[in-house]
Amino acid sequence: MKSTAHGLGRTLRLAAACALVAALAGCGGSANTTSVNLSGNITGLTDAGLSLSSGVSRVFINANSTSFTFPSRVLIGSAYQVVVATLPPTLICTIANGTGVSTSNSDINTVQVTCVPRNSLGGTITGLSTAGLVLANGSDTVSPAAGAQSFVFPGLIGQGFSYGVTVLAQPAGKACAVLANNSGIMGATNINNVQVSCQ
Amino acid sequence: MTLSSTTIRRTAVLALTVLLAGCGGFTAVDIGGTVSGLASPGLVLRNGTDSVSPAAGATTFVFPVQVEIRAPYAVTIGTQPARQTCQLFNSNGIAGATPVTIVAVLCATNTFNVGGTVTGLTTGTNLVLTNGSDQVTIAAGDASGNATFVFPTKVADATAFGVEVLQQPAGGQRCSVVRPTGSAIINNVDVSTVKITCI
Repeated sequence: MKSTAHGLGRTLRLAAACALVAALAGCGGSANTTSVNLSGNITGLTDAGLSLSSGVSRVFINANSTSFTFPSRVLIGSAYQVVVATLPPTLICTIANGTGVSTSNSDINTVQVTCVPRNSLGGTITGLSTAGLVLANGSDTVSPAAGAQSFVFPGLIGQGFSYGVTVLAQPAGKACAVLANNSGIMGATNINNVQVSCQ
Repeated sequence: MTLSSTTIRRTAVLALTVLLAGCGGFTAVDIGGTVSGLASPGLVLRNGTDSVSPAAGATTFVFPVQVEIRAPYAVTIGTQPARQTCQLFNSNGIAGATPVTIVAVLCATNTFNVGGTVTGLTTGTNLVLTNGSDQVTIAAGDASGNATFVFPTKVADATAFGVEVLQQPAGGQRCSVVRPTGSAIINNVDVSTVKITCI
């Protein structure tokens, strides 16, 4: 009887162990079989301050890093979208292969981040005696005050990226136009030769 | 001393119950997650027949009705917020023994096309326009010298665009943007009114 009771006890312990495994699996299962790593490579990251978002996770990246991995894994079957959350002050970074859906249990390591230095865009103004002028470079705008003789856009432009300055709003009683150097490609130094004239 | 099979079954059930209680002690759990970028009202999230409406500025949400453990959940967007579009990440799954908090909702301001028409492009080729750093190339005009264009990158609602000629067409023609069609603020609709004339 004693040995039988002992045998039943062992059976119960085994059953309990099986139940434990089953119950723990019910708690969430193994991360390795339901999600994958999301990572990629970086070029040109010469400054600190870059952070990326994957939609559900954020990664902060040190200067001179050449790769990154998000702390949170991507559930298999879930979409991901890598975007720049914060930029280093001196660089602009663009992302290739940043969106997709995790379709298999293979890690995603094809995200490519490319960073280049960025410089300021500005120029000179003549004849601006009233308020209201707004200049635009794409969606970036600047509003020189009455009497201003120069302007600089708040946004910086990456080397190799184009720009084109237009008049978005005219100042009171005046007509301004961009007379010269309206557009171009950003080089290695700040641009300050856009000429705006108001009459 | 004998252990009946009933006793064994009861013991096993008790053990399982205790173990499941160790997982969190719920029979049904909350379904929720995080919200980012939601700047306007109107968002409705659905899970089956249940719905929740996070307010502008909300950073988290929880559905009013819990989901039974081991039952599936599938969050969808019932209604998009005003002038924004939200995306879902980690939207589907099976409820585990702990509350679901991984559903992520990312909202962004709607974006719109910027484009227009070119006239007089009779002999020139490869006119390049730029809106900020976004470029479009017009290879050639039709038999009448007309062409249409749309920039590849959409522009966020309520922000500016400004179109300039970045590179004059090959062949000696000169093109310019007809003021003030080249620059404006996006107002919840695609822009197709930018006019370029070439002589």
